[in-house]
Amino acid sequence: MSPLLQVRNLEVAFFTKDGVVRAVNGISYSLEEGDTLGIVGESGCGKSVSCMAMLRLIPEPPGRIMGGQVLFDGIDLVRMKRDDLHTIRGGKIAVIFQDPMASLNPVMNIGEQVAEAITVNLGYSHRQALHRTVELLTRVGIPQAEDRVKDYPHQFSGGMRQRVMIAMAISCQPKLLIADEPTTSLDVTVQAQIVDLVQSLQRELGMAVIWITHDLGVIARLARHVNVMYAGFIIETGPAKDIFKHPHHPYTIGLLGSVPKPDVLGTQTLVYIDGAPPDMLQLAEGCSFYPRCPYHTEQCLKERPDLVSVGDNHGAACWNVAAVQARLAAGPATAGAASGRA
Amino acid sequence: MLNYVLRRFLGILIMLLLLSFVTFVLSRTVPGGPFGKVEVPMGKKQLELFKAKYGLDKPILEQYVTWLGQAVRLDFGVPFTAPEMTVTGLIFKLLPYSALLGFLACVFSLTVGIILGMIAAAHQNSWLDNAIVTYSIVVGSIPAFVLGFVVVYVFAAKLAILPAGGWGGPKYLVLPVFAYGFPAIGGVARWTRQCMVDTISSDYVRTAYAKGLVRSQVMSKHVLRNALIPMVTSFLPMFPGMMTGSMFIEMVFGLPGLGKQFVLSSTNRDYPMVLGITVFWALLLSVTYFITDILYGVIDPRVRITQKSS
Amino acid sequence: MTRAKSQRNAPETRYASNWVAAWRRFRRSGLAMFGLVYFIIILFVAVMAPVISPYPYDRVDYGITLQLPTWQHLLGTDYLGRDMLTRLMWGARPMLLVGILTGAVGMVIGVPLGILAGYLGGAFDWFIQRLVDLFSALPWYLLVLYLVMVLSPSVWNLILALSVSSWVGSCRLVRGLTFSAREYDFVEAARALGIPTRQILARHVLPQIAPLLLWGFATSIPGSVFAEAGLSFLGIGIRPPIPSWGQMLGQAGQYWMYYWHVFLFPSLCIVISVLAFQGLADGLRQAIDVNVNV
Repeated sequence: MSPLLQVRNLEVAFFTKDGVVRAVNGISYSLEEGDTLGIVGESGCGKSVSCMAMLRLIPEPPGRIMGGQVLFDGIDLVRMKRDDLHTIRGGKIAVIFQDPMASLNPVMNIGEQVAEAITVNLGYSHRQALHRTVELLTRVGIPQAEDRVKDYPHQFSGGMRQRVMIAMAISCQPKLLIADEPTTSLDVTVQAQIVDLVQSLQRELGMAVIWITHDLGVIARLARHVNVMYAGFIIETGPAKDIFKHPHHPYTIGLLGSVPKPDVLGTQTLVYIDGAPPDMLQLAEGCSFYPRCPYHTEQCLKERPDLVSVGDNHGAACWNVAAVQARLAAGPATAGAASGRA
Repeated sequence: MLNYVLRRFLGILIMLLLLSFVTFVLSRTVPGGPFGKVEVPMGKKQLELFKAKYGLDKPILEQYVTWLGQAVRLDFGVPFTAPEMTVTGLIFKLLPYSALLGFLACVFSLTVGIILGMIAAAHQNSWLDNAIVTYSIVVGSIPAFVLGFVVVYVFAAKLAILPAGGWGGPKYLVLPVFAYGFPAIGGVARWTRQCMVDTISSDYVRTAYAKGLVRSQVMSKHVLRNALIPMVTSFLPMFPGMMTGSMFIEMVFGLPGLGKQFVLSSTNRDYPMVLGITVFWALLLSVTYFITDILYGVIDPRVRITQKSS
Repeated sequence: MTRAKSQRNAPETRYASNWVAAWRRFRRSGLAMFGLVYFIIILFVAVMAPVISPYPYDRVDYGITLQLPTWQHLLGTDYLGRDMLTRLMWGARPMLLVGILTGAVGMVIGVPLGILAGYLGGAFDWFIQRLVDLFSALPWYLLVLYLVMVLSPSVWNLILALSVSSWVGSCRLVRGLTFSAREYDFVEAARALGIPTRQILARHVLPQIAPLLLWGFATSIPGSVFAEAGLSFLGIGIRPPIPSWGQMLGQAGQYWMYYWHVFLFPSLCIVISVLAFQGLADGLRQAIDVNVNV
């Protein structure tokens, strides 16, 4: 059986006044039905854009899909007409966004907004849809849902708004849910609740989930497979367990190092990756991570590394995988990153 | 909602009071006065009699209270330059010309401007969009009275198909309305475009697409309503704004409107008339702002509810 | 160590590239560049008018009234036989004077009030807000006509009268900006350190909002040019014999239907000036936007 989603060499660029921003540079991955994929990276690394582009939810222009395929249930979304994509959106692939306040229409009550998805995709009558909406809102944990459907987004708290977004997303029982940093703007306690909610809904509905985040903690909790992105490339991919235990790409190593961990003295040692994220206007000829990489060699500057297998289902795009591993074994604490006190 | 309405209303009342007081005091205390320009100097006794007739010999605050007492009954006294009429009478005699001119010019510029703005927004960043934006900027740089000259030159002097000025029927309004409304198209088109573009690129519109709505549904259910809020709040005050701002165009075309009267009254220092027109205009503008605010509350639930709870 | 070094270097390079980027953004707009070039030329013409104008601006010659353009009078003569080109050159002076000074006076009043209102808040802010409401509810021409009527027409009274309504714009802009600047971390930090309010405003808040003030200033110019032309046209702006474009249009009066040159050239001057200053303001907005976002 073929996988639910297959992305092949997807390339996305933005033609801005300052130049061409190559946001996604030929990424490939696949996702099985009911599976969970985490996409990690710094802001601007193309993780959101790559997913939004699949549904053509990026502004075009200036954005444009430069090439590649996105096979969903065997249909190539890239080749599909823009006007036909509504048959996929909402009904088969649903999205929850980062900022629930901005993502909800401020002048429409939330009942209408959720019901709209149901009437459009499932052909329910308005009454049926509203009834279903109340059920859904109750399911995602909104108290007194039958009263609250008449309320407007600004009358809800951040966490509650995100629950509304989730209700909207699952309303048509999609096969794939794309969660685009849904917890970033929320309080830490609320974040955990949202993650739990999505996980339980995933089990209930058997949908696949792509979870985009820069929060490795969230990924560790829910993803089975992880793609690490940098400058529009997937630079490491593998099962979550392997990546967390044996990261191979210097960037991933640094990323894992920059998660705050309490040390023996009770203070926190913050490890960070030196330097700034790359300028996306000027795509490097060689490895994009070159300027920030403590292991870089001549070759890194000249040639871009492809993903090479470093384990079962595990790949890293680095010329010096072996050297990095050797150094890592020698001195694990500081490898891959400079460190200091925060 | 009632609380909100009341508070707005009170605010307008206070503003009108303040405005009338300041204008009143300014007009009475500044040197020169209405008699500074009289060609034949009056005798001292004559002047005093005149002052007594208009109550100019009393303390300023008393004068204001008297004036205010009459003003609330729409009695603004008698114009110095036209003693046979009342200020109110003259205002209502001249108002229809200015009101009609302003209203028609507004309708003209809004119709053309909104259509152009929508077209530009729908084809954002295309050559058509650029053309409309550039056109809007250029059009917006033409003062109405300058355009007045041009259209009179072309249509009245050269082609002789429309009257150059004065008043004698609806066709005397064609050129003034065009000259007045045309430059306003620029601003309307740009603002419409801006509102539409902002809304189209907002996150909730992306959500609407992500839900599976087709373009026409997104436009009618999500974009239009949201874009309408800033549009209504800036376009509605255009009506009284253009009704009261027509003095330049009225001067060019010799239209017997309120604006022309205001200019003439102020150059003649006809204080009762100027005060009357000022307060009348301020009232007109305030009422529109009031209606706009209420309407804003109706179409934007955010306003309605925050106001209700506070 | 490397981190500390890069931190020290970063702001300087950022700063420099900000100006470069701003200039690049400005230059991208053709209208903005046109505005800039026009501004330089018109400033030169206005300053040098006594030197470069071919005739005295008030030389009346009844022998050559209302002449169409000739080699002696490149843009023709007006109803008193005065040279149009000369008068147009001199007319740039009141235009620039009113355009620039109105904005400047408006800022001198509006900026301090706006900063104080935005930073202090409370009763002072409330009071200023009501004042702003009052002035913005009224159309500018009402106030201006009224004041000019009371004060008698002259360039300076015109500037004064226009400033009375122009301060509102800068006050509102500055108040809003200060209001948000107050929330910046470094402003809060300065406050926590006990630095006096005056110093916080001058050292931390003002530099933050300065670029936008420049833009606010530029946007006020077209309106003032408009106003000066309109009021002079009505005969209540610049007094003769000092020429102004609007006044020239007003004087074109009954002749222009037959002598196109008496209204065409002043009209073009007004339209082009408004357009140029609008372009300049637009370019500045594009140039600045980015700086503010960074």
